Amino acid sequence: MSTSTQSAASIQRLQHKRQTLEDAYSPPANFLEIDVCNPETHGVNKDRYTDYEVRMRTNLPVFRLKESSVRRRYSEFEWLRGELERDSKIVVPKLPGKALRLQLPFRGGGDGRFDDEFIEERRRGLEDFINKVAGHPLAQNEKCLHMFLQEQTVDRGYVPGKVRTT
Amino acid sequence: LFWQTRSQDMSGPVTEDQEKLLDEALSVVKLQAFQMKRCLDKAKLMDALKHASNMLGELRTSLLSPKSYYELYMLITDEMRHLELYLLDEFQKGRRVQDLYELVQYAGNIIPRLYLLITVGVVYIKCSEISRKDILKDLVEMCRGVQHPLRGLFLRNYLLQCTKNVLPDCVEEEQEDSGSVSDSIDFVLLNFSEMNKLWVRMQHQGHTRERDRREQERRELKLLVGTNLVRLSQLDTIDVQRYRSVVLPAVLEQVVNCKDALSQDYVMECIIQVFPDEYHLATLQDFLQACAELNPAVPVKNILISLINRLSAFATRDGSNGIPSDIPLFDFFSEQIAKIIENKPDLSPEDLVSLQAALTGLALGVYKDREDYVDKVLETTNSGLDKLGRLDSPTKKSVSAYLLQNMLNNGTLVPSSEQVEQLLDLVRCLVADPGADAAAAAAAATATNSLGGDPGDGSANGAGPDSEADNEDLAEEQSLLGRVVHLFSTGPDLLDEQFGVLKTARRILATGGGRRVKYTLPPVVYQAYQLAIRFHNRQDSDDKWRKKCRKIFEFCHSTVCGLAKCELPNLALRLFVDGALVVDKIPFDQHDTVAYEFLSQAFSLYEEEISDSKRMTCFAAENHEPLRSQTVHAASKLLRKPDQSRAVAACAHLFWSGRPRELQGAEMRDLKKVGECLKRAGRLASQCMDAGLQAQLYTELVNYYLYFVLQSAGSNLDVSQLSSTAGQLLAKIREILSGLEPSADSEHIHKHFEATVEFARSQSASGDATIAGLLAQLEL
Repeated sequence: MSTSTQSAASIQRLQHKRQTLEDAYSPPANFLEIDVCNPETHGVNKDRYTDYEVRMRTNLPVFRLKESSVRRRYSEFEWLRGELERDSKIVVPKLPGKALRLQLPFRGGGDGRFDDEFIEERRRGLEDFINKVAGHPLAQNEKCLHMFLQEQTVDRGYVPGKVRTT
Repeated sequence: LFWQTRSQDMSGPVTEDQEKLLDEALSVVKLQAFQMKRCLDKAKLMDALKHASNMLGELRTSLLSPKSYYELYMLITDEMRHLELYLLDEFQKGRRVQDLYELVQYAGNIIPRLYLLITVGVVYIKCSEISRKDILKDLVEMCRGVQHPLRGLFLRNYLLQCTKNVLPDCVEEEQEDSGSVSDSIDFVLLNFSEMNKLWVRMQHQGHTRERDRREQERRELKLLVGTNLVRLSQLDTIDVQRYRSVVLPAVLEQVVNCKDALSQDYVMECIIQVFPDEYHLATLQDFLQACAELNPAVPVKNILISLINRLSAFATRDGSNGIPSDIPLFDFFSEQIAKIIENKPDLSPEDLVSLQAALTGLALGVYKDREDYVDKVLETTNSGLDKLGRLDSPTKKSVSAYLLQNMLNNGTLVPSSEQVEQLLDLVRCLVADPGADAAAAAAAATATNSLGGDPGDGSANGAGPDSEADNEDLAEEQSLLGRVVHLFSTGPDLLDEQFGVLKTARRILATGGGRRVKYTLPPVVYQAYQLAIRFHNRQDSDDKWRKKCRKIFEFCHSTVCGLAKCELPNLALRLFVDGALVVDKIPFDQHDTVAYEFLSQAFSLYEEEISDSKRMTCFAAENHEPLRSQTVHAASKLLRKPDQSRAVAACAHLFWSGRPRELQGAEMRDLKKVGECLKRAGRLASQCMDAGLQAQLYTELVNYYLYFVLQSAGSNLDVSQLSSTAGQLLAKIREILSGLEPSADSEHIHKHFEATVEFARSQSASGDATIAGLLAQLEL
């Protein structure tokens, strides 16, 4: 519908199929929520380390489990980042700091890398990281991501590869 | 760029930021609006459109809450009116802008683009009727470009508001492509379904922990969706046919398929409120069918009750034709409610009851002569509650109480014995303790006048001490039940049935035991008294009215005696006195005997209780004075003089030992009144024809005098009056006796007299100087 002299066909509106009621009202299939929470410090003295719960809720078809909860430590996040940088085509976001400075004795004050404030800051950084990564379709193709999110332990001896899309 | 998952969609920011963000946006709007108007003044349309576009760009934000967004939207759309008016002016003056409709589509961002398109499109419609249909279709379709729930809802709202007065409202197209009401309906229905979709989708935006806040925000926006229905109701050409075949099915399809409780609840209510009642009557089945298919979380009962009440009001309004006879309204609702009960195993008892109550209201309001409807309701309620299985006792009680309260609020009558039985069965947890053997207690009640409330009968009375809270609760429950008794009414004509109803009521309520009957049986008795009066009023049309009245009073008598046995003497006394007053007014055969019987029962209760000081305290707590005067009054109204005399004499006791509250537990000892009573009794006795009887009465009176004189020993009351009158009486008696013919009766009277005198002598010789002094005047 136009009042100009141009040929009507070229500026016609596109026809579209009417959306089904099912599609209109189903919950959108882009639900992905990952919480990094409940930091816990394990072990004693020099062999102490902190890990976090990585809790995931999703309705994306690509993920096998719609809900999962695993515990991961910082080094495992580092491992994931490494794998993705090597194999996927995405620009992988940065992780929160390594806290090298804090590991030196008498520096940083408090408990060093077991300090509550530090742990909270790190937690937030890890949460932002994993949400960004898991939402990317190219990262979703990688086996390492699925193992990281949905297997109880990270097997560093796994065979890297792509997830077959159904 | 990363794929945007919805948890990253930051649509719920902090409140302190909201104010700041909104202020910033508003100031941009004000600035751009000012620039736009300046350009329009200088007829620089393109520049004005640029500023308009900048202004509209503020609506692209994701950072504002619905409330803030609304405020921003209002300001912007206000300013857009200026643009619209300018364009209308230009077009009407013949200065059409070429291809404006295409031009605005070059706006860089979709939000400004579509708002401008709508504005221009409406100008086109207002200025030339041609292609109205096409423009409207194009606009409603193009809005699909915004799928963000908040932004999309407001955009489509803008579309609705702008097109308010230009939607075609005629059956046939007036000109080619000007559109008819069908096109308007399609337009609004499409807009409605898209808006509902966006509204439902809102709940999925953002993190799961924000769910409640999102739901609240959705509620704030519900009006935007509802406006579509309002718009439909404003199209005059839509008649009930079109509503039924086109409009309602489309709306219901969206409602049912969206499966979202919040949307369903709102939209169904909206339909009821927005469209006329005639339409609802015509589409009842479809609507109710949809109700049955809603999400279980929707409170369907509220919707149904809304509808039932609305239709009841419609039917009973002045000047209304009522419900068309081909619409079995009651059956429809009854069926649907049954379906709902079936499909919702977790329907709470309170919900069930309120549904049934609404239905009862309908039956009574609209179908007054259909008693079977009320029957049906009670039946379904009963079976419904049964299906709900083992409810715990407090729940059962509160549901029953709720039902009763509802009946009282609506004035629901229970017009037959069967229904009384049904109702009391329904609320049986209030009527009696579980385990009280209803059949046995009932048999006992009718046979022996015992109301199962003997202290020894643990089960009916309830064992163990009652806490104060329990007693309060019980009192409340039972008063409720008692008040409902007044709803047991067969209507003004069926008096015999009414008696049947009262008998049934008593039979069942008696199983409640002593604790309960004190609340529940008095209403039965008072109803019976009223019934007797009504029989009396109907005496012309009923030969047997005398017998019937007698039977009624027999019924009352036995009931009140039963109450007396339950340690409720005060209650029984009052009921007897009131009964006597009623009997007095109704001249059925031997009503005087009946009245006497009532009063003497009253007095014997009174006398028994005098000895028990504990009782007297309770008695005194009530309002003594009216009772006294009532009793005296009743006494003097008895038909036969001897009865009157005796009764009035007995009243003397009231003035002696009564302990009204004013005296804080002390006995009244109103000597003056006592004297008056006795004197009056004496006068009445003197009017008796039968000398022997007179003597008998006087003797009895002397006994009374003696009693009071002796009672006042040790006090400073002056009983000289009493004594002297007593002395006079003795003289009179002697006189009469001397003239009496010897007979069995006269012997008896003699004996009584001698005994009295002997008693007096013994008292006076007892050694107590004061007593002797008091009795001196008797001239023994």
